[in-house]
Amino acid sequence: MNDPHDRGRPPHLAVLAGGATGRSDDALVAAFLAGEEAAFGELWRRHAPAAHAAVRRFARTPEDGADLVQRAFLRALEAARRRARLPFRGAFPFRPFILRVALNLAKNHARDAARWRRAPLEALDGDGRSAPDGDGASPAEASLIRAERDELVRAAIRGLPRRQREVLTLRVDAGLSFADVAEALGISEGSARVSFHHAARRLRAALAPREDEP
Amino acid sequence: MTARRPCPDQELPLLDRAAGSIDGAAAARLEVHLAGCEACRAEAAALESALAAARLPPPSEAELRALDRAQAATLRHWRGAEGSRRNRSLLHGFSAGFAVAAAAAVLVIAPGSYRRAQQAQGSAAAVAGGVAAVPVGTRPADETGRIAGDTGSGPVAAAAAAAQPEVASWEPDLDAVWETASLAVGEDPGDEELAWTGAANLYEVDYQ
Repeated sequence: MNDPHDRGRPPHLAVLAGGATGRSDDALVAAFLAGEEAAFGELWRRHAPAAHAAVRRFARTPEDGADLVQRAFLRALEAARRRARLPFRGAFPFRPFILRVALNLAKNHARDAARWRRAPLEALDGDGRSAPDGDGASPAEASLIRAERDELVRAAIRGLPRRQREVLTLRVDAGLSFADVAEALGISEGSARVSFHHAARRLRAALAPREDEP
Repeated sequence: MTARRPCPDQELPLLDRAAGSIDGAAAARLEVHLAGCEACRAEAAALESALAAARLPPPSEAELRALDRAQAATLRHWRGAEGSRRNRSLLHGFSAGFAVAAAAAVLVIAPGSYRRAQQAQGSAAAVAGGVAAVPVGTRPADETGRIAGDTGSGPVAAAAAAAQPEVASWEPDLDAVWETASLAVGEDPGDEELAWTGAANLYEVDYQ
């Protein structure tokens, strides 16, 4: 599969094999390792958005986030390359793997407390955020309310245990199903759900404390 | 305002609803309950708004552009790393062979040297002066000397050896041998967080 003579494989073979879009991740990875660049484009199209969603919260700038995705891809491809040399290999779980790597890289990236404190979502937000809670207020007041609430959310998410934060990130930011979240984190689906419940409870308590709560 | 607590038996359905993972029958039951329970309605709204606040806004133009650039850069780095991987694997093959030879040399030479060193120690203790404690012939070859131990390399060490005759100067430090061999072969302690994939032997490749 890593045969260097295979590199010049003409594109029509890929077309005969159903094109890049119809193939499994495993087939695409194999094709890419054999030198087919179109397969990489398809892998990127499939998985870069989710990997990006998994790291965005931890990135300081747009470049930071893109760089984390790039590193996650390189590591996943490297792992697939090594796996491909094993004699009795199963299919390489590319998507769970890359999400897991992306989360780990993002966590390491954010480990620096100073980075955390400065992590300005504003740098990522641009101007795209709507203000549902600022209806009656002036624009200045609305943005103040919004900033305050954003800081509360950020602090609450920072304070979540790692597992809960990961589940929340994959579910809410990356939009994965609980089955996919569980696969990416190597846990059961039930455990992913429970982690999400805990996270949702804590966020809710942080944002809208009930009067009857201590 | 006297907000009642939400009903305890509705807590899980409410959380599932907020997570967007509630199935049809349970969802229908919950909606019926919500229609008649103000506290649970308030709780559902609070959960919803908390999770909505936690959700990141969609990627900005700048982020999408950076991601596009990263796609091309990833491919470029992968291709660039392919060349150095080929060179590296040649180098690894060579240095692994060398490490094995060196380790074998240590195992063959060291025990002999050790015995001779022990024999010599009687006379060395008797001399107890600035003279080297170890006869010249018992030194291992230079490349194994570093691994085998760095005592016996001068009058001070010799004196120390003379003062403590039970110290075995030529005992090879197996940890050091192992470390050296592992380094040469390119083994990595492994990333335990990635071990679950079965590809435990990952190390960060220097894509530059």
